[in-house]
Amino acid sequence: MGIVGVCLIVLLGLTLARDDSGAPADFGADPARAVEQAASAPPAGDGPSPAPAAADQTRPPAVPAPSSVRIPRLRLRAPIDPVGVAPDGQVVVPEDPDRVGWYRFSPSPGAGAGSSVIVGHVDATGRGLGVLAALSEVREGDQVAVDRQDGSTVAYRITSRRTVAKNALGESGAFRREGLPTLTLITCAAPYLRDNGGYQNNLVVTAVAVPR
Amino acid sequence: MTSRSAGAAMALGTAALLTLASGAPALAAPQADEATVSVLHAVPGLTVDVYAGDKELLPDFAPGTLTDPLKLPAGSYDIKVFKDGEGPKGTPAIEKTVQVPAGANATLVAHLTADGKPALDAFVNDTSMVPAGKARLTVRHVAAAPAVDVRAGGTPVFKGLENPREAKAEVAPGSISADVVLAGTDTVAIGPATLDLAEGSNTIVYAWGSAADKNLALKTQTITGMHSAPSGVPAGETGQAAGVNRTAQIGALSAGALLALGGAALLLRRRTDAG
Repeated sequence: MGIVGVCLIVLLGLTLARDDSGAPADFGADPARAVEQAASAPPAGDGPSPAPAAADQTRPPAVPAPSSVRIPRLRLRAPIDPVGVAPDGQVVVPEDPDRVGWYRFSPSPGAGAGSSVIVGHVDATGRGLGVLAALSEVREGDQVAVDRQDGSTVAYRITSRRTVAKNALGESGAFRREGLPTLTLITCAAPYLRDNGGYQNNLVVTAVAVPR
Repeated sequence: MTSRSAGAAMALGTAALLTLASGAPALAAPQADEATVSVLHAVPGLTVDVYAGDKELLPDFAPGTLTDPLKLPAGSYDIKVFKDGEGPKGTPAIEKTVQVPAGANATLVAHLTADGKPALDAFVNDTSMVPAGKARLTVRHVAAAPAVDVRAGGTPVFKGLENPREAKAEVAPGSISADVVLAGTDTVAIGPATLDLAEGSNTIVYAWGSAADKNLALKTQTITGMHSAPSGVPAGETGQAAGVNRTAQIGALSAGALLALGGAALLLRRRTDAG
C-alpha cells in the first residue's frame, strides 16, 4: 500500500514536470507538404509553367466573412474579428483572449482554395487562459464549424496538430493561398522562456473542409 | 477586340515565331529562357497590326487593349507597329528592337510620347515578393501630357512623374480613389477612379492618351501571387498555458518530492513497527 502510494506520488511529480516542459502530443501529417506536392505536380506534357496570374480578369465572387468558430466536443466557441498585419510584420492577435482573429489576407472560410487562418491568444496578461488554450486537447476527427456573416456555416474536420518553432511558421504552409481548402488555427505553445521572448513555438491545428 | 482574342492571336503569332526559329532549341527551351510578356496598345484612335520581324503578332489591335501575359522565348524582337492593313511592306508607325530578358515579366507598351509621337517601350514588371499586409502600386506615364502627380484620396503619392517613366510603392491594400493632376497643381487631368489594390499583388496603372485631344485615361494591369507570409503570430503573453511559470513548476516538483519523502518515511516507520 505504502509503496504504491510512493510510486503514485513520484509518478505524479514526473507527470507534472513533463506537462510543464513538453509540447502537447502532435498528430497528423504535415498538410502543407501534402498539399504542396499535390499542387505542384507537373502538368502533363510541356504545358505553360505556373506564373503570376493574368490581368483584367473578373474576380471570383466574394465569400462571406467569418463571424465565429466552434469546436463542439471541447465546448469551444469564439467570436471572430478580421485582423491584419502589425507594423512589425506579425499578425495582429485580438487582445481579448476570448476572441479570435481571422487573418483577413488569407482566404475566407468556405473559399475554394488555400488555408483560412484563425489566430488567438493562448493566455493574456490579466485575463488568464485564452479560448484557444483548449487546442491542446483537440483530437483527430474533431468537428469544427465556422459561422459566417450571412448566417451560413462551413464544416471542417481536424486532421493534424503540429508544434512549429516560431521562426518556422512562415514556411510551414499555414499561409498558403492555393491548394486544398483548410482551416488553420494558430496559437502559442510551450516552452515559455520569459527572458527569450516568451513562447518559443506556435501550435498549428489544421482542419479540412467537409463536403456538404 | 477583346483582350482574350488578342491573346489568342498573339499565341498564334508566337507559334509562327517559334517555327521561324528552326534549328534553335526554342521549343525545348527551359523555363529560365522564357519571359512573360503582355502588350498594351495605348495610342488613341489608331487600330494597328503588330509585327515581330515580318510575322504578324497582333492583328487589328485596338487602342486601350491589354493582352493576357504570354510566355515568349527570351531574346531580341524587332517590333513593328503598322496602321491597320498597311503592313508589313509599308512604313511602320512605330519600329523598335526590344530586348526580352530571360525570366523577366514585362509589358510592351505602344504609346504616345509627351509631345504626341508614337513610341514603343518595354517596362519590366516588379514581381518580387510583397511584404505581408501590403499591396504594390506602380504608375506609368505613357500619355501625351506634361509631368503629373498621382494622388490617392487627394494626397499626392507620386510627384513629378514624366513620360515614359514609372513610379512604384508598397502601400496599404484596399480601395483607393486615385486621380492624376498636372505636376504641382490641383488641376485634375484624369479621374478620380477607384482602384482596388489587392494584398500581395502589383497593380499597374497606365496614364495614357493625349491631353491635347482630351482623351487621357487610365488602364490597369494586375499581377497577383507575390504575397508573403507574415513574420509571426504572437499569440501568448504570460506563460500560464505552458504550465505557469518556472517558480511554480519547481514548487510543484518540490511538493511532489516532499510527499514522496513523507510517504517513504511513513513506510519506513511501519516496517520498523512490524519488525
